[in-house]
Amino acid sequence: MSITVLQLHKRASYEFKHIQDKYAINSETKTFSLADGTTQSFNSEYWAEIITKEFVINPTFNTNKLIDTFTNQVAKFKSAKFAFSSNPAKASLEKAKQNKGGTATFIGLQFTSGNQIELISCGDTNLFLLNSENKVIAFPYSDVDSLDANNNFINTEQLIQNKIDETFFKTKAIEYNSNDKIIIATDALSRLILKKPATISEILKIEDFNHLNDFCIKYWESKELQEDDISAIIIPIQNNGSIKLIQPPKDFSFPKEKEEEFIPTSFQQKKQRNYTDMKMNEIRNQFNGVAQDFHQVKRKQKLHEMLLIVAISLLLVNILLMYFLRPTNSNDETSKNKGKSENVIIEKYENTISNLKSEVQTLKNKISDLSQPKEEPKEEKIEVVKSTPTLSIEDAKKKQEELIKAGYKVTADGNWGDQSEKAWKEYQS
Amino acid sequence: MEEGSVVILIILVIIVIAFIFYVSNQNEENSNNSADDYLGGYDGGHNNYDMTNIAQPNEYEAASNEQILQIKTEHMHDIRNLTISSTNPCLLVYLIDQSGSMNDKFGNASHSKSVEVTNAINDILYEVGLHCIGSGGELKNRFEIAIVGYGKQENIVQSGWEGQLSGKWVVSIKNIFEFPLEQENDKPIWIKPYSVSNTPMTKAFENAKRLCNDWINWGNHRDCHPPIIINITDGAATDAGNNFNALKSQVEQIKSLRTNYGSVNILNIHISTRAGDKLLFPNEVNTGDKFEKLLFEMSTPLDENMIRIAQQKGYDVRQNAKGYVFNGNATDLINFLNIGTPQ
Repeated sequence: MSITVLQLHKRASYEFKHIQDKYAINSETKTFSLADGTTQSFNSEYWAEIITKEFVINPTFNTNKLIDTFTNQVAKFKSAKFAFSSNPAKASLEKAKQNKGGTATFIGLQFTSGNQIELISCGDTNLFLLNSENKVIAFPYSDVDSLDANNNFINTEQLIQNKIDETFFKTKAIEYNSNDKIIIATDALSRLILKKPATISEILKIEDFNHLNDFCIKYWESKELQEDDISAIIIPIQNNGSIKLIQPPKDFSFPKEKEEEFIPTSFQQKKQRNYTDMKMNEIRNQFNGVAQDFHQVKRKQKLHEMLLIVAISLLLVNILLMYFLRPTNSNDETSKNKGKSENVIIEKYENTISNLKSEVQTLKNKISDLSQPKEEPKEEKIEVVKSTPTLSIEDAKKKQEELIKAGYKVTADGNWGDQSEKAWKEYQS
Repeated sequence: MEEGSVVILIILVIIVIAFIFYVSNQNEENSNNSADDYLGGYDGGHNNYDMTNIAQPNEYEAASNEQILQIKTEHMHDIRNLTISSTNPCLLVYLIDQSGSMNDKFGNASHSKSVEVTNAINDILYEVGLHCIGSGGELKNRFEIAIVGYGKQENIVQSGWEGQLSGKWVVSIKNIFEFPLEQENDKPIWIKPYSVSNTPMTKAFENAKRLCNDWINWGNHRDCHPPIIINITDGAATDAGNNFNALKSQVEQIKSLRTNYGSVNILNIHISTRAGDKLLFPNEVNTGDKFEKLLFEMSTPLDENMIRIAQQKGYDVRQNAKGYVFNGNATDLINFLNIGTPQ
């Protein structure tokens, strides 16, 4: 089994290069150290790096010796170059911060002979020893309240002013079994473990960065984990000395939050309400002017609407009228007219035929009367003959044509009637 | 065309005409309604204005108060898991008494109370900047700060910012360090001392209430540390009403405002010309001074973080101690402001 190092920077730092937690491991001496540089101090990540590295090179669990070791490193820290801001106010802050020095918490441990671990700690970076019976031994803090009450940090200025003494440190030797595991974690993760020990099994299962990221996001979102740099070293007692790093890939960064300036909305409204009477009158007049315009526009709009409706109605009426009063098909009408005129002619001819028939009948009757003479009827017949001399159709036609030529208005139809007789008499006379 | 088709066509035409009339009527009805609404304030251009339908300032304020009281109490988070960051900033509101009495000497010091308070505010702004500056020199917007001055003019409450920040109510720490008023002794300052008129403290708290309400309802601020109001005064409010009821009412409304990490904190520092009788973060007051009692009652208990910081600074602070200091000296004033500034 290998030693696992888990690290993820806080979201507000965006990139891993800004992480202020630093660790160091010396596999040969089986020495481990973890430090959390405080955000508010000057160049704290560099100070954390210096003390962790120095510890694994020269491990000591003698508090005074460790204080001396760290004090000797302050010069190195102070010699680091730093470019101050061009903004005088910010530069002033940076100088003040530099004067206050770098600050970090620290925990160091070493496996010694006799199944023991030597521990030394300053601050709220914590250790958890998990035994095979799932019992957890915590050091230096075993509950959240005492962890939060911590007020011990290793500060460069305090070191050189000899203000840090052994009371700042806690030391302990713990016995372990071969199946035990050790977790050392910075304050945010330590707080979560102390509050919710079940998360230990989740932490032990983390095998890659995505898994670590998901774990942190989940607890950050649920507000159970403090939004801080997350660092832990998991050390199985039976480790092979190899180190597995679970850290963000080079191209990983948290999205930058959109910075929006807070504007108190109610103050803006209040500002707008602070009008003088004169301003109010001006606004009122303007409002009334707009109101009049608006009414005029509305009236015009109504008129337009009415005109539109009238136009549409007229259009519809026209369509209806055009439909109902449309001319019928011209072919049908001519054929009908044709039929009508044909019917008139036929009717005319039928009348003529019936007239002729009646005349033929009359003539037949006369002939029969003549062949059987009777006195009285004979006289009558003579009168009739006199009045209407019998003519053949052809003779009648000829006479009629003669009459027409002479200018009389008769019809040359062979039907010798009273009109023809009268005209003939006039012609002869 | 067959007779049936003609009938259908006629029905369709009737439907179309009916629809047109219906739509036309609807429009007319709507326009009538809007005209009615509109005519509530309009008299046909005779300049007689009926204000009954127009929102009055008082109506707005009542609505605003209602809104404040309707803020939901959501699931509370553990404040110990909260780190004040640029993603979860904190609002600090400093109410500064600028009344004429602030011109009196501060305790045994040679300078006035107004100078002492101004120096303390400038120092605390600088301290806040120190909490927010990153390793790369970038200032993170972990704090948004309001400075509200009262008494610079009679019954007037105004923004205490000066110079390029003048007139702004809330300024992010980034902008605070971009636009200081000037540099003094290689340190930026933002405000200068004033001691002019009366003490409209009720109005100042009313302003603070609206600032806090707006801030809480802005963006993700419900998931942030609750705002902290720090009132620094030397005397009785001149607009507190009978039995200080108006002032108490404003304070109670402020106390009902909350984020998911708790209610708005109100801390009071009562500075006096009297030497001695120092009272720091008490659990009770028995001096008989009405206004002292009022300021004590107005103050909220210190939260866990404040108690921790107070204890770290050497104060004997017990649980449920209130954020009230009477007659603290200059160091107490700075420490008090530091305690009220979560780190």
